[in-house]
Amino acid sequence: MAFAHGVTGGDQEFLEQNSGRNLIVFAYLGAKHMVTGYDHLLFLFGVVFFLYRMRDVGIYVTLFAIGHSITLLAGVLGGWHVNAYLIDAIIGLSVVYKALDNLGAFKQWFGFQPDTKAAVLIFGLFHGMGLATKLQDFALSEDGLVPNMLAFNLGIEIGQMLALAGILIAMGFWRRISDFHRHAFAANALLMTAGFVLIGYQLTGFFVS
Amino acid sequence: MSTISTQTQHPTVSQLAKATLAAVAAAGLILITTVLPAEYGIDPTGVGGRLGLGVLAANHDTETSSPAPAVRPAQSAGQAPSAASSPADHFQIASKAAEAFGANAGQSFDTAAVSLREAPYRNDTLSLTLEPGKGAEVKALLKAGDGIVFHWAGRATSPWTCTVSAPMPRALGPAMPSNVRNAKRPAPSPHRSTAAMAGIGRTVAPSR
Repeated sequence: MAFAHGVTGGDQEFLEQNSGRNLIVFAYLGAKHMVTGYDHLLFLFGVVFFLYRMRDVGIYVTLFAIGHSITLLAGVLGGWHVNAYLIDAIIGLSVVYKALDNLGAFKQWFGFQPDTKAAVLIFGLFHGMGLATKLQDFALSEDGLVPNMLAFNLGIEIGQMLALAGILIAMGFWRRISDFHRHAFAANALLMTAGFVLIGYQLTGFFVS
Repeated sequence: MSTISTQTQHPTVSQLAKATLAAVAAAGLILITTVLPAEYGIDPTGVGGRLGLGVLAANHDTETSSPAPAVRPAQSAGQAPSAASSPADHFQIASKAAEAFGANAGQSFDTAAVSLREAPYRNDTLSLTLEPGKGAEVKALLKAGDGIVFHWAGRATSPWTCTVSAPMPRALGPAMPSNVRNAKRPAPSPHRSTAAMAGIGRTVAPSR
């Protein structure tokens, strides 16, 4: 498959054959896409890594959701044609960026801290474009497209909340360990590695296809 | 928003540089030895092949959900024993296909995925009547490496679809999707209309 992860098998068949409004199924597919989407999850993991208060988690995740909703809906309904490989490479870059941000690298290297909220919103826009390209691979029926896309988007948010709950619970246990801060450096270096793998994977796809 | 710097001792510039370089190096190693061999069949070190990951790349080539390039040479699947190789073969196959199917909008034919054959072809014709909203599954059992060329002509009052897949029989190995063309031809008007499509399917035997 070309993208970081896609919609395959029976789901794909459904998407191609569906005609008309089918809200529950589209919401389910949206949620499934998010929960099984390691590229989105890696970025979310990076975003909440140093967020201790639920209020902050809510703010950042809302910004991410606003970003990816805008481009998902605009991309599919507006019929944008963006290269899936390049978008997925940028999603990989977002993971690298967030890991470096967590490590304090920008402050250390360039002497200033880029706005973290703006970064989450902007990368959210790219994640949404990635979601749009996955759906655009299919010949989606125009019949009921708008409600179906809204349902898919709602499903994405539900899936994101579920995944986030899992991440936060795991992080909660992790932070109780006194070694958390020593682990933090290694964890973000690993996160960065995963981001570089995603970039290399997608850019290779771009050049060989 | 805290970063690691406010939580613990600041990582130094050189620590950060080392971590970044290590991340790039580790990512490169992972890509070259596993991801690229498995996903694209690019295997400069041969490690992916020794790990048996090449079989995945052969599969990925045929996934319909990828932004499919119009023509994908069969050689990239690495398992086409007698695929057409010369331009003359391609031309001959293309003209045979054009003769058999005629020209239909949205139709694509991958000449690289099939090969010429001396033995006589077997021809079957099958008519199906489908209830609204229902489908039917048509199966053809092939020898490994054999090809099938199909052509559906449908008369429908509403949009209809045809998907093709070619799993291997369980007895021969794990189920593998094969070279697949997936087409959708909606009937544009509510009037009785005829839609036609053509495509090919080829089974690829597991490498072991």
